[in-house]
Amino acid sequence: MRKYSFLWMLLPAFILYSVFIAYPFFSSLGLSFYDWPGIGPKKFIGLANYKNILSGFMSSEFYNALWHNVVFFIWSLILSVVPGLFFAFLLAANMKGTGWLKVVFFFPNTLAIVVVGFLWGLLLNPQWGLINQLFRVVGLDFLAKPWLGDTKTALPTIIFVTAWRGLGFYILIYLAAILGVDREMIEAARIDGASELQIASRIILPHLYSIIATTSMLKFIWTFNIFDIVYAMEGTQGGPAGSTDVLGTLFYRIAFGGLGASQVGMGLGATVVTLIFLIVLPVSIFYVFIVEKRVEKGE
Amino acid sequence: MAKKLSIVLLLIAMLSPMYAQQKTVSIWGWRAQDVDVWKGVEAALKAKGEQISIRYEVFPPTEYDSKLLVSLQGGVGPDIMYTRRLPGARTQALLDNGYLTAINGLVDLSNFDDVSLSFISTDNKVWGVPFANQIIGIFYNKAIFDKYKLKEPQTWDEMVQIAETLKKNGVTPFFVTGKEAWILAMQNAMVGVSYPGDEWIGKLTVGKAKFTDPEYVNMLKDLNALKKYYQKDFMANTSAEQDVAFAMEQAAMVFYGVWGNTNWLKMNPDLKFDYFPIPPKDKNVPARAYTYMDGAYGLNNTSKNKEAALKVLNYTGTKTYGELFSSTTGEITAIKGVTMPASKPILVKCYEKMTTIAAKNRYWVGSPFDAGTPSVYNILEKDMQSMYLDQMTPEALAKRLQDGISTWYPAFKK
Amino acid sequence: MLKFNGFQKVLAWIFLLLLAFANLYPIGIMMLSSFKSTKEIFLEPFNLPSVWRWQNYVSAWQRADFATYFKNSVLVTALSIVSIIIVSSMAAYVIARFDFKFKRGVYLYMLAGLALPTRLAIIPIFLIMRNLHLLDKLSGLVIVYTASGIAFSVFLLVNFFKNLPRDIEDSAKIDGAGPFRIYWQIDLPLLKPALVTVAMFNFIDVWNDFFFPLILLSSKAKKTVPLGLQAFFGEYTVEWDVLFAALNISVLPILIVFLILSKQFIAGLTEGALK
Repeated sequence: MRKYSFLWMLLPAFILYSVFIAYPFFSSLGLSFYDWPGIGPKKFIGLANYKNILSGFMSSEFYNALWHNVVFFIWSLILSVVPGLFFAFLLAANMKGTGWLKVVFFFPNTLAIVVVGFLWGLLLNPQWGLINQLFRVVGLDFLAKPWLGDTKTALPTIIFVTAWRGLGFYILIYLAAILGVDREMIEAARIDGASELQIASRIILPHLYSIIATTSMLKFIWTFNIFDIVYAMEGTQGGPAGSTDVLGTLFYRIAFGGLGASQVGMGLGATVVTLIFLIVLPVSIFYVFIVEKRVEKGE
Repeated sequence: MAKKLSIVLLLIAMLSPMYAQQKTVSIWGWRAQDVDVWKGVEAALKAKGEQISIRYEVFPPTEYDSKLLVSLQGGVGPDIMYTRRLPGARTQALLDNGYLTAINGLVDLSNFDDVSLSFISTDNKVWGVPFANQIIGIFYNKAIFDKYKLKEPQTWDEMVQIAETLKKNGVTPFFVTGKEAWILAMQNAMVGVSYPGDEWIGKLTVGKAKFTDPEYVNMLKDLNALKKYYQKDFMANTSAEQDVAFAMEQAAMVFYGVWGNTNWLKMNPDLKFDYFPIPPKDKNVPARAYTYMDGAYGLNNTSKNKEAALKVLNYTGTKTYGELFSSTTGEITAIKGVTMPASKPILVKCYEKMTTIAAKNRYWVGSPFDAGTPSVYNILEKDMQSMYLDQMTPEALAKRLQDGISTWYPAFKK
Repeated sequence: MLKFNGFQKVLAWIFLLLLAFANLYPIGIMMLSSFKSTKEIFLEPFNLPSVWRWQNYVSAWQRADFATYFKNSVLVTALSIVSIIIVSSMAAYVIARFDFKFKRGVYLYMLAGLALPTRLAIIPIFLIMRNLHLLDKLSGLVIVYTASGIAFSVFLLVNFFKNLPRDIEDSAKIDGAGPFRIYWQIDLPLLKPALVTVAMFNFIDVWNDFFFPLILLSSKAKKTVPLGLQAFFGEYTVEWDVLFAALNISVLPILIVFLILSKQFIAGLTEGALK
């Protein structure tokens, strides 16, 4: 038994993680079969919650929010990978004096999402906001729009603001991956007469596919955490007219109520969670599998 | 050592009765403007020799109800909570879970009229001390009206005419807060009491009229047509920006409530403005003002501090309190017989309108249509935005209301 | 790596500076505006403040009760980071250094936490906290943050542990040191750079988190900075001068910590903390 005396050091993390992270996901599954406002006796109702959400009175709200999550994922993926790679390549040239830029690029990442939301909310104010005033000053009046008040532009605007905050993180991650590519291979290509663009696209880029894949998977999973930015910029109802409603805000309204909640219930909320979990699960398993493989292989 | 100890003991002995008597009453509400009111109450109670301190906490209005309910469920609620009205799902949820104490016999309610009390009562049980009555309608800038020789309109068409004149002269006729869904719902509701009118809503309440009737659909169409007189990009604006615009005289009219006057005067003490109810479309329908009891102070049934909390509540039922409330917040207290401060002519005017032309029937807050889900309020919030954005026709909105309410409202069900 | 010629360099610099401008402009506006009056913000948005109004900060600080929010945020963040580091590094040490049955299973199980949107677990977390009477308590938050930081931190630290040379450990083992002593006295000090990276990541997450406090806290005396900021924005919607000042106040601590640690942090990040 003494042989395993080290195991106690694993226990605190194991227990905390199990109770507060792992168990809640199973517990949500259990709750999803009940009608329960959060207090008092639970009433078992089988799959009724699922029916209400997938095809019943909650379905239009649910699919609307789910669709916005998908849009959010696709666009924020594009807005992180493309400029992320581009700027990472620029930094990878290791030009003199670019060190401070890494700090600047990462800085927005350190700001709270609500702070970013409030800040951009003020900047995007249609009458007095700096953004529209800037457009007017430089003669781009047609761009001075009510960005957050139009159902067509509100979600793209929020996605843009999110990308603004997150880009630096991806630049640094991709930069790390680029710097990890075997130098001799690059030198050899250069001697063979390859241009820098060819080196970047044919030699380095293929080595980045796996990091792009894993960050994309993480991005997919994290997309379902989105809440703060919509809350700060458009409120819990995901206005205008539900055009920025995401599963995070929908779920918040269902579970914890508030103005604009058409239905309140912990059971119904847990059902939304379980459904999201089912969507995320395959990606999660795949991700853990890949990461573990890579760790096994010895980094 | 013994000496030191005895000094400490003496100090404890001196301090302990003070601590024993000093009670802290926690109060939660959504009204930031009440912070000074509670400071005044605390001072008044201290002056009466009560050792009660008050801790008032404000939550964002749109978050308040959920935060309160969730906290009460978690056993960390306040001693006194602001409640909304009955009938109304938000207050009903507090009642259903047994968080409110009936205060008949515990608090002297003789200073309130029956109408105010009816908004927070069920079967002769009163669940809170009403604090304010609100009146909503159109507030207009007098200087701008005078400049273009405009008078308060008597009909809807006259109002449109006024808007047209203002627009021609480069003045923004209306400032509307499209980003704040609840204010759009409120706008719809205040228009409803004059057009299609009080009497029609009475019929609606008993199921003899429908939202899909031409009276209501026409109103929606006219309201939707009015948006060409709103400020540019109005769908991106909030009430904060409306306050700035109205106070800085950048817009002539706003659809709002009497409570707005405090902010406007804070930003521009020289602002001259007045109130008129929404004018009816049909001259024969009387113009009505939408009024409602804003809310009440409820006593937490699980409070460990009931005695002190009741002292606070009893004070909030007195005339002195009513005067303190009205002069501090610039709003209309629910206590009867309080003279509105002459320094605030808008209060005098609104109080007068409240007593003379208040609508008896309504479909927004404080109405039977607010008692279930989806309520008229729920539906209007989202769909008014859709209508203004041309994503939903007035007819479709009317149908959404009719269908949504029909799922639970008894008079619509059959 | 890539080598640019003169023209390419100029082009690269233009793009880099454009992005830097896009990053700094909103933040610069926020800082400048916080010294203006509301009227100036509305009417002369691009000018420097006519008078530098430090009183915006004083009034934001006093009216929002930032002292309380800061105290709470500092307390929660510090306690959370310390517990995350202790708990995760112990676990990572065991996973990296020892062999036991189910080791792979345990590791995968913890790794799965990386791939879960933790916020979705809020309903049961809320109910657990309610049963433990930890609602509206800072300690409740610390527990949640510690638990939710474990997956990521263990993952990072296992990699770092594996890269540590084993010979010092081996000689210590011969001297009879137990596992905990080796971990505490030999490995942890060597891991300092990794711990800084882990701490910084968790610092950003915890300090900025808005969601858990929104659900788990209610009274003003317990609010953290982001939650207090939200209440402040709800209360003083039209006073843009104090709003900008409040935003700045909330950003300042993280700015300072980040600037101090940025070199180490970015090195940790680019040298392959995440793969």
